[in-house]
Amino acid sequence: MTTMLLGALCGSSVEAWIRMRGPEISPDTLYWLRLTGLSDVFHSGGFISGLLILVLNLFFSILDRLPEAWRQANQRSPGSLHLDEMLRFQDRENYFIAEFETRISRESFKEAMMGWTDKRIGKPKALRSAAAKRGEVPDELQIVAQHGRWSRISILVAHLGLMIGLVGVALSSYSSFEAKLRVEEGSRTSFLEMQSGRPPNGWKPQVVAGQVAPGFFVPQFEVACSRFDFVRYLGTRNPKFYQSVLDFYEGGKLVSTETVSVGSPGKFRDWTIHQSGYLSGATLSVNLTITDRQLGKDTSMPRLNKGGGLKLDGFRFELVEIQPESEINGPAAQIEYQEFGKTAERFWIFANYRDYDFAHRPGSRHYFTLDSVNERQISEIKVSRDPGALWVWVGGGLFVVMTLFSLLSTYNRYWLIWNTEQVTVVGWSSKPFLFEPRFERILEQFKRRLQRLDPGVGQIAIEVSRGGA
Amino acid sequence: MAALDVVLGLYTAAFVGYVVLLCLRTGAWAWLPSVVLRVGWVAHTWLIAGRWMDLRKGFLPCVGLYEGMVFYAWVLVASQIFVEWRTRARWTGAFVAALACAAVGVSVFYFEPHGLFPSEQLALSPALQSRWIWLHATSSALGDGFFLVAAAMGIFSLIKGQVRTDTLLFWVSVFALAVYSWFYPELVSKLGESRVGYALLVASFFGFAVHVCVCWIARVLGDVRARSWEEAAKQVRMLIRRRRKNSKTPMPVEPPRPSDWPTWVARGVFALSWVATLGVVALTPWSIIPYVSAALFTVSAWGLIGLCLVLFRERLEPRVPTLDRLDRWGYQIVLMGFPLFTIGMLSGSIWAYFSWGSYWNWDIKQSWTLIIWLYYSVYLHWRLTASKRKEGDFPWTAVAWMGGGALVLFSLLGLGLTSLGSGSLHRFIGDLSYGG
Repeated sequence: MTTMLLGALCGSSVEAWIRMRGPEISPDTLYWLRLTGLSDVFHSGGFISGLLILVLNLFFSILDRLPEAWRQANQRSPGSLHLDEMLRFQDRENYFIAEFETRISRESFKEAMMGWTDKRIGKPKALRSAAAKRGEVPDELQIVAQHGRWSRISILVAHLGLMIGLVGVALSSYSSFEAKLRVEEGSRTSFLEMQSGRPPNGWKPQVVAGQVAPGFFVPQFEVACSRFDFVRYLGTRNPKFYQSVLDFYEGGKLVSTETVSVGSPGKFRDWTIHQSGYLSGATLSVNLTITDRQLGKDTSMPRLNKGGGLKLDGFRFELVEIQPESEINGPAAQIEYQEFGKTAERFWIFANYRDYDFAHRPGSRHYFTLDSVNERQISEIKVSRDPGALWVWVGGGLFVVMTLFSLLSTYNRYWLIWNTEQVTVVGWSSKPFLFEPRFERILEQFKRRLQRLDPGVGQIAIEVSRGGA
Repeated sequence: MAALDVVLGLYTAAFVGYVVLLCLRTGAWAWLPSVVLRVGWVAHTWLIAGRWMDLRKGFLPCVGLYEGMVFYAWVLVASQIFVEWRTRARWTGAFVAALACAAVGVSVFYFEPHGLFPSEQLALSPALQSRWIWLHATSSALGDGFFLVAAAMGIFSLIKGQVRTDTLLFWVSVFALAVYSWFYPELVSKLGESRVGYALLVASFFGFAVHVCVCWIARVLGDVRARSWEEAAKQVRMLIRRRRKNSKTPMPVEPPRPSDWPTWVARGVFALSWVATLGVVALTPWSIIPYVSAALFTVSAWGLIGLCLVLFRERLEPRVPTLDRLDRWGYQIVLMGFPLFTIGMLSGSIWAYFSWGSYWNWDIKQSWTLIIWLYYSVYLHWRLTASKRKEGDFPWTAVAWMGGGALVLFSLLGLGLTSLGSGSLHRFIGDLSYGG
């Protein structure tokens, strides 16, 4: 518990403080924070040890309770109850007792109550009490029934689920890692920045100008982003969807291609590849169409970069400037156009106003239409491995299902005890504070049934044992 | 969502109805506020369903402060309706309806006049387009809702458990002081220009502070009976001497005595502070500092409930069931909330893994979720293993529910609406950005 609380509080506060104040923290303080594991609580030895102790504690607690719970679960009906002994010697906690004065015969009681018990409580069994067999009490018949006998097993399984989840957390803490890489569309990268955990075997520290760059590693593979698809919400800068097509190279050879998007990760070796974000790149290009008014012919110019252009018989043009979507008037491009023998002219064309150039330069032989501006984005990729995640989910799922089952079910036992002078109803429950109204309901129904057999029945007493009589 | 005004109106009517219900001698009209609340909830459901299917195109509308508040209010009221249906416990409705009014009020008075919700808020980032958000948000919010209803149930357990109404007022004042202390600079900057506003603010803030102090004094002077100041001073001196001699002697626990003048002074101070708070709420522009207005509205609503209890507690007490029954109900409400809350955590972890690459980020909201989960798991273990409550025992379970409720409120609003939660992955619940 302390481990989890420490993790919860320190994990977010100290680490956030280090992230925020990083450059201002003295090396000594950082050293001590790292030594005590406070700089990365989740991966610290103390946290993992605490988790393992918690797991062991849960394991031995389950082991300790299992035989008794298993015995209870397999007991098809409760044994007979030695009422006097129970009242005198046993721990009376969780027992509810009601007594009725009646003189009905053993047979009519058995005949009437077996069916009633089967209908109202559970499968009944009629027993001659052990005390009567030994002759300690006069003739005594006990009709016994129970329900919810598996509830104790289910609570143990729920704790087993919790244990599995905690093992998963320990596994995650020990062997998980997260690294981030940024790769521009159309380019390749060969280094990653570790974000948490230890780097896998074979990843070498990155050396820049003869010095090790802290936190940066060079893996055995290279990643290229061959395509980055990006869709915005209409009229906003907000991304609607983005995905990267990533090529993985080993020793210069393409070994795998993965398409990843947010919420839909890919796999490379035993690592998971997530699309974690994007950055707008500086590299822009345009798709435009040139129309020759005389010939009525269109020429498409895809992915034209700044400075690019065309020189043909009679004219030339050059792409001077590219304006991204974020600017006023939307995506635009500035063109320098010159028909030979005339002076060069500069003008803007707009993707959102496609007929702008056609309308504004009617005397020109050619007019331009801007189809789109391509921004080359930088894809942010997270490479991670977390062998504990599945354990956590399986354990958590088991915990939730079994908790629901065990918390909503209760193990209740009933004894309807007949002897020559009176009838006693005894109830026992694993959750006495929830059992009381149920017992009262059962008792009311029992009393009505009994009154049909013996109209003169009188209730002597009802006792609710309130723990440790 | 202009029709949200109608929902707010219905919730406010339900709140007033529940408060009147607390003051009545009979429970004959108890169904009326419940029916109004349910009608409001049906209208609320219709609005959310419309936004879900129409504007959000199948994604649950719970992103951003506007949708977050509307959604949380909806879930909270749903929890209350469920609890009412199962237990017939209607009094908790007063507290729940007040919270729902505050949450919906933020949306009606702040977002709609500013037109902040339409197109920008509709742009869901890819991380928020996950289907897991449906399960995560709904089950977490339902868990929170049940925990808050249990906390409200705790107040009635305390009333039934012979806890003084003045003690409850004391805690309302502490809550009010916490809210004022947190937002005081902001309130001064907004109300400082108006003399009346500033005077009301100071009266309200210091009024609650004085009330807290007077409550302490009233407790110390609990067994002083005096007809004059001289006699009172003499008795206080005797009391102090007696305490010094035998400091371990516990204070005598007595039922509230309306004739105790310090108690009435405390109540008077509380009432004045409450009236001043109403003035602050009236003058605080919802459209500028909505969360402060919402918090102050909650203070005034709960203060009103406290004052009604002071005046009409004797009428209410016979209608509240036994402590044993309240104990069972509270346990069962927490029992509903706990697995739902756990499902919320699990589904959130799966969503986070596929969206961000790790199932747990030690995000401050996640940490507080874990703390709440641990808190309630300790409560459940304690409740299942503890002996049955004996007659006359203090209802500690009620304190446990209320403590849990305070944690939930802090996690929901304290983190979401203040700078504590800045940088959190869950920040999209608390402001206009989108997370992811």
